[in-house]
Amino acid sequence: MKLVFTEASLWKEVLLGASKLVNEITLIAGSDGVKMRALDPSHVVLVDVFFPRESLEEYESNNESFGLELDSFAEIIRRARKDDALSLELVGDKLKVSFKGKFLREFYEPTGEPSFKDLPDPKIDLKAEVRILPKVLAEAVEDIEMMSDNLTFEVTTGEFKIFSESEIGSASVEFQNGDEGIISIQSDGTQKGTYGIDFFSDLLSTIRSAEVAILSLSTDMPSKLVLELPAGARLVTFVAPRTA
Amino acid sequence: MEFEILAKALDELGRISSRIALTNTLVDLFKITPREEIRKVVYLLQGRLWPDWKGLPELGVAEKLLIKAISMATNIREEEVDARFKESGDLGKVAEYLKTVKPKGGGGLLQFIGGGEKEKLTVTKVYESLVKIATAEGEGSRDLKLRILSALIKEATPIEARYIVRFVEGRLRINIGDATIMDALAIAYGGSKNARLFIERAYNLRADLGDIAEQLAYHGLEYLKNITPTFGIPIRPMLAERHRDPKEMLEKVGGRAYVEYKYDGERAQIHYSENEVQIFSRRLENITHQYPDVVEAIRGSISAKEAIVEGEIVPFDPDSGEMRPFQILMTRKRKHEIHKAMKEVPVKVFLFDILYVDGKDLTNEILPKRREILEKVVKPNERVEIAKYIVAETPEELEKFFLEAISNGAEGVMVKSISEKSIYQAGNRGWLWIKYKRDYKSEMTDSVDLVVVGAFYGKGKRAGKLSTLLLAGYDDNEDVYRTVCKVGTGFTDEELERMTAELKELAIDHKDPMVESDIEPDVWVRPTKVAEVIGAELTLSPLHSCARDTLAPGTGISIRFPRFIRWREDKNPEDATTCKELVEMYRQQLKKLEEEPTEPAETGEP
Repeated sequence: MKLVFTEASLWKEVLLGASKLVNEITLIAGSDGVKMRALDPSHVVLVDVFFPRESLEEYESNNESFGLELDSFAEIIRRARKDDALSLELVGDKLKVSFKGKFLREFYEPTGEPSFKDLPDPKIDLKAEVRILPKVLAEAVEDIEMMSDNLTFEVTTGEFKIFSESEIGSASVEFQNGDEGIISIQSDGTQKGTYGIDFFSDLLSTIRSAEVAILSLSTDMPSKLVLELPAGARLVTFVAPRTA
Repeated sequence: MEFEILAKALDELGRISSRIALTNTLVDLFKITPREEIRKVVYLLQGRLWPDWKGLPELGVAEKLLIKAISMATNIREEEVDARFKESGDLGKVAEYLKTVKPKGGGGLLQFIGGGEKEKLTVTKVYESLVKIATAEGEGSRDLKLRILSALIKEATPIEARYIVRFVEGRLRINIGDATIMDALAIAYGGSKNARLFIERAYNLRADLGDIAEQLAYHGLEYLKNITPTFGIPIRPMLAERHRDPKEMLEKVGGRAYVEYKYDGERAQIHYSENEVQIFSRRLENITHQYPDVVEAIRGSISAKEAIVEGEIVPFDPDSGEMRPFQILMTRKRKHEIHKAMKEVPVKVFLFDILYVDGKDLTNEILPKRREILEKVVKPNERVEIAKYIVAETPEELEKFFLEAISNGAEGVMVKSISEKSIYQAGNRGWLWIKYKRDYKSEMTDSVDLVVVGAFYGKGKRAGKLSTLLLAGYDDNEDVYRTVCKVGTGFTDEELERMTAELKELAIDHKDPMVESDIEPDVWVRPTKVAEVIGAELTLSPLHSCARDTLAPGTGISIRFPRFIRWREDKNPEDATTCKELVEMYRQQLKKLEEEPTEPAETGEP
């Protein structure tokens, strides 16, 4: 396997965010592109990162899949500098990570067994969908996070509300179709779910580097957040709801 | 082995209190524990991941983080977990309950993904995860601990969750200690409770019960019988009984005894090899990092390839050679300022026993033999000495040495049997060693004014300077000066310079006829200068002549840990504090010391 990506800094944004949510990630070099997927140990968040084949300058794969310690992989990726190209190459049981910019830098990262063979998307019928500019979503999460460790999304026809309540106090941010930053709000009835705020606040930096954010949910079901990134890349997270 | 088996055994152990029933439950558990896992099972039963002396990190999970982990694992809000905890006071039970009720969505994403048959948790998996939590360090370690812990609770069955959480909390709430574990090991692996004797001896020589259990499971009882002390694995210390009557003490140990200073410091078991020195505390913690200077001093003083010696580390003043109060050793506990602490609080080691030398187990040798070997192996230097001792045969000798020890800054004396039975009883408390400490103490609340009658030259950077004074109180009945103490602490460098010059002018080549002293200073001086002095307490001392025979036969009065405050140029020597006044002060401040509880012999029994 050998993958070359011209813009290492995008990988950096995505993987640093993902590494805050999950420990181990499975990298699959498929026919359509490279996919990285992980379920956190407490099974609350599923992370899925996808870079399409077209976004890569060079793409050789034989459907390899292997596990990576995301913490240490992200540490390497963190070394990416602006304008570096990134190359990932499987050498034996090691992943060779190279940055090519003004000069060449190489790192070797051990790989392991993939932590799952097949990890399908959760089967859920998501009845509400909000398309929003990532910057606006990120600011809303920041407004909410000071009050509680949970946030609640509530979507009704044409309205989207994010709020939190705790002993300290409460905070809410409300949007309507047509508001600046809102692309569309659709919902079949009122859909409402509460989630741990960390799963969103840990991703703020990645959210900001996205082009579009699409949040889907149904009452007391997992939420799905799709971040459409430059070059056709995509980061998807599913977050299980909190109850009580 | 499935962790659930252990969790269920722990549950049972928490509900019964009869020792026999507890032992039987443990025996059943040990019998089904594979030998590869017995070490881990024993550690978990002890509520630890490894023996403390290994110096490995603790779990380092605060209550708040634990609540967060339970919240993440059960997907229930932290506030609710916290509220339930406040109500029941047992986070283990809270986790168990929350796992039982399985709220909607609490199954996390797996219930939406399907599949998700879980593998059962094993003892090894749980132990290894806990080790990962303990060893996570540095930036991001809090998150890593949280993730691993919440994953563990997530995978656990309700009863497993209870014990994982309780273990992390440090409160298993079971009624067993090392003694019950040893009984059960004896029955499960040694055939009967009779094997306990050998298991206990092995444990006393190698303070690692998990390791002992593993050796027993793999190699059998015969192997344990031949276990000897090993470099780097601490021996559980021999402990002393306490008594207050010198006559009875001597009777108990057979008439004759070693009586040695019981220094007021930190007891240390020092493991020496040519490449490495390790120091263990009385509680068997590895305290090597607190005493780099002791490590160096020991290196220079032991002539053997390997040895395990025991002694007391005592703070002292290198210039005056006096011991200092042991409380100041506390500064050594602060990890990051050890080099500063080394300078501020120099220490000395007084060795009193040797337990092992060059492959030879000495714990079964009698004390006189061990002392002989100790004195052969150890070459004293500035920082390493053999503990001061005498052979006493009468209560009077014992009492006199006791008072001398106290006024020299020791805590009391140890009376040690030198009979044919006087082996080193590792891990046991018995009458072979008896500690004799003060019942009363007279704290010094006011300073006194004493007359300088002599002086001593200092050592080290004080060499050539008269830096320690011999001070006396005034006996107004007989118009003489009688000695009270030596003081070498509290002088500034400038003061020392000035003092040396002044004292040399006052020097005389014989004792002044008005001075009564049993102590011979380097320089006698005319009794003219008065110094204000304070100390920790007034004590009885056979060395000093002030008020001798007044409070007890053959003893005078002295000051423990004296410190110079200032010169009293305004006072004549006859205005100094009188011996009568000192006796009065001693009586007024005399208070009975609270009986300290006898520490348990570290069996861990509740």
